[in-house]
Amino acid sequence: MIERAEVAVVGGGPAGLAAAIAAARHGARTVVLDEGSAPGGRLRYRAAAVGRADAASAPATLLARLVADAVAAGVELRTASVVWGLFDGPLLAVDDARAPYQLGVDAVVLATGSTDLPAPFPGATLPGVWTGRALQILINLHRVRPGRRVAVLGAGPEAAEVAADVRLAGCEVVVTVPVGPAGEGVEAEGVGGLDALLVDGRRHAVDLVAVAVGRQPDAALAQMAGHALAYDPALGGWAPLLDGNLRADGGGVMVAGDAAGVTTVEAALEEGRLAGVSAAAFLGLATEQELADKRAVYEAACPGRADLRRRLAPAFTQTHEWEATEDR
Amino acid sequence: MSDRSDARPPRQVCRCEEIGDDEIRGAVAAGARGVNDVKRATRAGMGACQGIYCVPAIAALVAAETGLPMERIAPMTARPPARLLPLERLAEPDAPS
Repeated sequence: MIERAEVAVVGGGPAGLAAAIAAARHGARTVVLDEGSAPGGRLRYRAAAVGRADAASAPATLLARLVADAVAAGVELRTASVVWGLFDGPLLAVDDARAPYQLGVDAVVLATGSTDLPAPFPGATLPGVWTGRALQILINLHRVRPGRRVAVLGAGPEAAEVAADVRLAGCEVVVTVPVGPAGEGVEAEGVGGLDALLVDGRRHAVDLVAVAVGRQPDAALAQMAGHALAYDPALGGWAPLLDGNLRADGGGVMVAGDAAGVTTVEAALEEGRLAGVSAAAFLGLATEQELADKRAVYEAACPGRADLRRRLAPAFTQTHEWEATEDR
Repeated sequence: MSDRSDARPPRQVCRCEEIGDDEIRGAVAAGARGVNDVKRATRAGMGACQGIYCVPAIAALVAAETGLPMERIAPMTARPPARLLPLERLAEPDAPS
């Protein structure tokens, strides 16, 4: 079965919802596909305020407003919908646990977010070693206190956020170790479960280790569709190469938010709005002037990110390598 | 074969396929220069997560062992399905092949 929509947004986090609202407000028939049981992405399991700490900046408040705006703009929100392939067309392969289907669209916004980076230190597979985001989901979504004595690994904003969240849940942060993605200098100890974390030889008794060394863009759909990737540590690793209007090469594919390079919720919202207008412009529903205006707003709000994108060089494009290397 | 008796304790890099850093270093020593090479030699990245978690760690090891900058290490090939999927879903007659 092939369904049609004008704009599909893959991922209903802050970037995806902002993109869908913007596209729909320009008159595009817009569908959001999210693999979660509810839209929101990281806003569902984030406790920290977004921007200024006031009631309006609470993630739940922000999410409720985004969902209300999306519904008011006529966006169709489809949850529990896994997009497992992006093909020429653009054509999306979707599985929603009832029936698999294909969604043919004029433009697609990939707002698939990010995944946690690993830190493969010795003992990292012991029960009790978690990635930071898994802990945030346990604590803030499922209301589970995951342990009592916690070691937090990482030095960036993820580590600070997860440390605050485990404290909020009533855990004690015993030690914070600024390890990098290689996980050098630490070793987890225990038999059948975590007993301690060794930090440069010193033993800290803990029952929980939070690996919060960073995030990486989830760019698999753009990559499998043949769009060029560029590597930059500031983006979290490999990210799709995009033009100033967030279009991947080839036209009808836009990328926004963490999927375009890991970033803040505030930047993801701005970027989503630009991607949505960019999709509408691609369909002829927004004028070039409207797109230029939105782009100016985005670049003023996220100057570093826009600059960084201009400097990126295409480093890698996936051809249909499984055909080319069949005989290797 | 890898020697686990040296001073450096092993690290599980690909937890789905249980591939340690020693095996990946061995693959690089044998000529692997990218994540796909390591995958073919060791199965690292071929498990249930399909490399979503471990690829940066594999790429970092290849970079460290070869001296190549990370920019020169190609990521693992991305193929559909992008998420774990029951096989019966792919067997539906209308699904893209």
